[in-house]
Amino acid sequence: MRLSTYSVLVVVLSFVFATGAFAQSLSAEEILTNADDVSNEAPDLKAMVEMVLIEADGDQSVREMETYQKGADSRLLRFLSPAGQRGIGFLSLPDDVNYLYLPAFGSVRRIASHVENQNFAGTDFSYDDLSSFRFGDEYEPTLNETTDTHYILELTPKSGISTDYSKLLMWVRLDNFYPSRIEYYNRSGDLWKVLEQDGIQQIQGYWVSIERVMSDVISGHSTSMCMTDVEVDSGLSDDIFSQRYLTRIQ
Amino acid sequence: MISSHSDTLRGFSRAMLNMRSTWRHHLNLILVLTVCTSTLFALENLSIGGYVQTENHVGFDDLELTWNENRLNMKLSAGNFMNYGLYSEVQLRGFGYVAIDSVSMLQGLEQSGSYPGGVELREAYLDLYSFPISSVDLRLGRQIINWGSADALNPTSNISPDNLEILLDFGKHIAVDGFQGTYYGPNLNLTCVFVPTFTPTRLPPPSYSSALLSAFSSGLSLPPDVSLEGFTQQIELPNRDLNESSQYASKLSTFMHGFDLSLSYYYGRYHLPTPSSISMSDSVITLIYPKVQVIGGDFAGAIGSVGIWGEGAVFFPEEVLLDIPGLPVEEVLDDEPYVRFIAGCDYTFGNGVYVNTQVLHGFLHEQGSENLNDYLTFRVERDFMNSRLTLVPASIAISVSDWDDPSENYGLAYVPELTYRPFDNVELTFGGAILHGEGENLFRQLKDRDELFLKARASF
Repeated sequence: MRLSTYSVLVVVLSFVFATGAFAQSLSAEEILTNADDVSNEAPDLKAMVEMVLIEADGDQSVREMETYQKGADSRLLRFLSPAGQRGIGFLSLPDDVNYLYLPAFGSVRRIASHVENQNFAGTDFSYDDLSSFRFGDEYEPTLNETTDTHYILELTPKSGISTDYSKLLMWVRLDNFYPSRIEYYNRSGDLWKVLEQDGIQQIQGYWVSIERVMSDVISGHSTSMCMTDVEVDSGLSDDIFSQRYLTRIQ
Repeated sequence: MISSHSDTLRGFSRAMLNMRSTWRHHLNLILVLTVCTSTLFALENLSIGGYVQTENHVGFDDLELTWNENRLNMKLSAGNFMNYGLYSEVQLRGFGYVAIDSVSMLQGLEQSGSYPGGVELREAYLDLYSFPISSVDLRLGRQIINWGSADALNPTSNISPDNLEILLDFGKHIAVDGFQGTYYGPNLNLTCVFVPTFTPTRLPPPSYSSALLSAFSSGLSLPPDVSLEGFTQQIELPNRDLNESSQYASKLSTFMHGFDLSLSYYYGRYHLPTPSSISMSDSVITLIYPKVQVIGGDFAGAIGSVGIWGEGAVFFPEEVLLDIPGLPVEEVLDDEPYVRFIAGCDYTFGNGVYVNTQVLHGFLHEQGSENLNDYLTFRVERDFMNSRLTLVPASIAISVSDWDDPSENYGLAYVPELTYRPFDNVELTFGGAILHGEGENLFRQLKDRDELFLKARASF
């Protein structure tokens, strides 16, 4: 098992902060930086993902996909089911460069960033929610409260950032800085969506949440996302995050 | 018009009868394929899927049934993502309407083949990844090749013919049998395509085809006492040799300053036919597929969060002269280069309303510098119920064929639709097409073809 510098740092910090002795000494910016570091710590990740879409009346439908992720801002998603969506691929690259592959047309289409606030494939996750970006790049944090187990940060969009959220409340674990809950508020200031990140565990020495549930509290719809066959730090090639691989058959 | 409606209808009926004669052969083929399928389970990541679809159109005014299709589509794919992949798509469909005009044809319908239908191998290709060197991918076999960054109407996409079967459903292509190789360099990709055989465009049923084909004949200056009413149209395919039937193309593409850019070259033939001779004694019009070279370029990117794209192509056609014995030779396609281009943008508003608009000069079927019209397309779309419902209240195409008098030379197509997905894998689409116009243009020619349509698809 190979631990990165960040991993060692996180373990040490976790021990220190678990005591609570210095819990109040960190600024909101430092907490958010640590949370971003832990969330994006794995150099790369490959996993199978099962998404369950749950209607307000309890009806469920399932989406299965495979995901490849490298760094903080390169991701490839490919649908395996349902049958009508099989083969559809989405490639997200740095600087808001996104591509959609629709097998029925046999071509890759460039997608501009206007889709980022839209729901992804009928789920409650927006394209933006699924991106593995750093919150610190887009939000200003303030520390609202420190509980026995969590820091509670309030994040407001930096000027110039286009988002449908007026603010976020983020619960950051004291022991490892992993965000376990995020509340998203709409432009009217009302609670809109809640993300719960569970199954937080170390894989290959990196903290990963393998169970996530996004609930739309206004519509009553929710989406659970569970990762299996997770491989971390397997040395994914940069080539995978390209149009070349987006169109390959599997 | 070059030929009468009934003549074209006869031609269409003949084509359908030929299709029927091979019906039993196709069924045998399916049986063999089914048996062979059992051996395919040894393949890596084998996936078998497809869909069942039914689609029906009915005219607004006379309630004429204009389209009846029931389709079983089977897709098979396998591969391992790093070394190879294979893909095949077979389509079995019942199409059109029962054609019986005698009692004997009622006796043993299956045997007489009075129910039209057919089997089509839509695609069948093998991908070799990182072969023969790590920076090259190859695709061999029957494949659809779709180039360009614009939405559905691509002047640089000239390898795979357009599938104009449903005329207002633009952007569909037919596969070609060929070879494609792409070299992926650090900053530049080079794609080369070679297609040894010629594949023509698929046309819609006769009443729609006439609107397309009349574009070629509208410029003919025939003597006043000469009428082509009732003439038979005869297609002359290119000779089946590499000089005449092959097409090749290449494309350089790169990513620069946030934009995807490409330059392309195509050598081949138009996939829509042009009249080249008329025999008054035999009442036959012969149509050919002229050669053409195309140099094109396209880009796609964003300004802020608005998606933008553009695409243009210079066409270098060969001259086509119309030979009518006893009359002066007339030029139906001149060899003067001409440009077709398209530019567009799209955006999704905060409330989820998606808007897409494009302007273009020269439509899919328009050939020659004198025959290009200007078009504007505009589409508004919004999802509801977590994408279970998609409403397209406005899908509009407007054409102007003469800017000196646009009020008498315009065309309009309005195609709203509603798609509902009650369950996973089930999709129901209901829509309509309203066509209007004045003067000489595609939509004006179709203005009596207003229709409603219903399409239902279940994927598996």
